[in-house]
Amino acid sequence: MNDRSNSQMNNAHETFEAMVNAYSADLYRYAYWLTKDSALAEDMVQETFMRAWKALNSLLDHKAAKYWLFTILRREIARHYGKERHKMVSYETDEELDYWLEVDPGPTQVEKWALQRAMAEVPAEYLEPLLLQVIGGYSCDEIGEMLDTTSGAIMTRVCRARQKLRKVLEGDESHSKKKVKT
Amino acid sequence: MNCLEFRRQILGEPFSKLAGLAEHRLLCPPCSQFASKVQTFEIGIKEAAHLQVPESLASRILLRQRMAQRRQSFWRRGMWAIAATVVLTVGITLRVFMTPELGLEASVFAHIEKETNHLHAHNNVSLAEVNQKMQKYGVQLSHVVATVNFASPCPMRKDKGFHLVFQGESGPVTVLIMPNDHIGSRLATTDQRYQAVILPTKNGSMAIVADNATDLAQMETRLMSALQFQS
Repeated sequence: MNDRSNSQMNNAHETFEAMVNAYSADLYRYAYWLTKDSALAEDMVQETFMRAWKALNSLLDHKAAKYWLFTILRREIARHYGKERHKMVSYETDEELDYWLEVDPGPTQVEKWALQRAMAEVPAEYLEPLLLQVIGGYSCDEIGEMLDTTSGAIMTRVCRARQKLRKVLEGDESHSKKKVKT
Repeated sequence: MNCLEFRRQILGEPFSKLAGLAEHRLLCPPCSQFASKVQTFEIGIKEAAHLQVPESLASRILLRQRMAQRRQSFWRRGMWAIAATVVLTVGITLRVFMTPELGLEASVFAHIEKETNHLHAHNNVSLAEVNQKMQKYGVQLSHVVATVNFASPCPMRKDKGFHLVFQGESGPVTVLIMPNDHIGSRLATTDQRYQAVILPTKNGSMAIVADNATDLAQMETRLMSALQFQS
């Protein structure tokens, strides 16, 4: 391998490592909320980065890396669940949520746990654009482009997601608090 | 912008910088309160979504990529080695099977160049031994023409023949018996180092090669009287 090839390979490694360090956590969170399975979420993030590594040459603008990675991950999730994807993301059991109750049980966490419980109850159709907004930091226009729909449709879906969260939270508040105390 | 539009926009993008939002918020206290509540809620959602990531996730991703790359480069090197072997094999095969056959004169000189060590042999082979070895090739010497320093069967251009080296007056003289390699008439030829004559025989041809004309002529005369070819 000549010096030029070595240099190109080193650059690729640096780019890839920077991408992993910058985005793997957010990608994992996004995958987790859509799968509700930690191991599966990690597998999907790993696979996403492996695909990204193989196609790194096609990434011409590094500023687009995050959007590119989210797109790859979305395809991974879609590939895994196929047409059944939205059915897979449904209500989570109390036992699965107990994990969150075991972590740092302090009074400031009550609302967070309640919200997490509520998020688990929001249908994926509404949750996905909300996650892209909250975790990915994308605008409705960008999410619309990513999900191949209009900005208006995304606006409606994220509004519904927030309203759904609010309703679940209001109805579930007492249950969550009760759960924390146990 | 009216209140409905403002609230829909805030609920869709709580921290939107859309033109007109800030202005409406300043002028409409209920909408300002609505925006504050939605934004507070949004911060809560963001914190809730911000799950703890499995420890060393990034390290595991990088490790998997490096391992995959190592496997890939191993296979790539392996494939290069296989490809190089195939190319080499094909090249050698083509060279062996597609090398144009040398002409008779060139093949005689090439044979001697390839086996120059025989020119320096001093085996002093007896007439009886020479005749015994040459019997299979239908050639006999009726009498001694010169000291025989080397006598052995040898592959020639067309068929297996016989290689002799006699001691000439001033140097070695090579004789090649070449079965099935026919020539119409006597041919005298030279290259940069040797002089040769190629003579037709009963079952092919015979070359006499020396490094000077005197030895060549002398040996040709002697051999013509001593060599006997059987059909």
